[in-house]
Amino acid sequence: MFALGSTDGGQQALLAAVDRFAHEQQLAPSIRFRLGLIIDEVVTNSLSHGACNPCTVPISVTIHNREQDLLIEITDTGPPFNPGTHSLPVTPSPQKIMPGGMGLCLVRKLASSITYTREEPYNHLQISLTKQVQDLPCR
Amino acid sequence: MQIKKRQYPDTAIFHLTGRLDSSTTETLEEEVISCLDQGIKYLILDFANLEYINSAGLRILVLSHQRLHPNGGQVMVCSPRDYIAEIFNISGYDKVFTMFGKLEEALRQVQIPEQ
Repeated sequence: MFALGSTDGGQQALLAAVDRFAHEQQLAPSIRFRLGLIIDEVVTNSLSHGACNPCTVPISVTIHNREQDLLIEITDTGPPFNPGTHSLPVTPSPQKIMPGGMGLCLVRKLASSITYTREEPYNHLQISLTKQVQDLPCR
Repeated sequence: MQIKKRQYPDTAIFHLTGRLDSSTTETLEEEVISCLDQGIKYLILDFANLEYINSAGLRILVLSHQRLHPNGGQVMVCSPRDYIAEIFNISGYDKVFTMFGKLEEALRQVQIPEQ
């Protein structure tokens, strides 16, 4: 289990620890990248919605390396928010592309399943990342 | 992240090494905006040694595209690793930015001699 207890540099330390874990588990580079990206984007979103302000209760990240997939569990005490229902941006076009919204889109598309529960005061997220490479366009 | 920049009158080339994430985007964004303010038309990003990019990093490309595209300019992404190229595909950004397998192909397009 990994924990993020402060917003000042803590996120990078968390991601570095996750990357070390992924190396130790000998995960393929593409899976290692996806694992880090999912955790990065979810934690960034949690922080931007006040999950760690003040950070009296750390954001916790637990990774279970299972046979077919990685199960990522993320718990925070921010306002209720289910990333699984976050709307996907429309297909970007060169004329209309706008910044923003892509982080959770990538999470939704890289994950094979997302389960969200709220047990006051906790948001609890379970994200499954298959070890088989999958590509689903964000559109 | 390590940033190496080469600048020409119409083109800026950034060679990125390491991780482009929330802790490093500010530095790159400042450098890129400086080039955009100087009136470049083409922004070439060499991702050959880029190990990681997140949505904060992608945002810099989108902001640059918004500045360059209306004037006929382009953001060119070169040599991304397979797993990073997949993110462009999944996001649909491979249809927005010009993707090159090799830096030399982008340099030829903007008529800059290879070094």
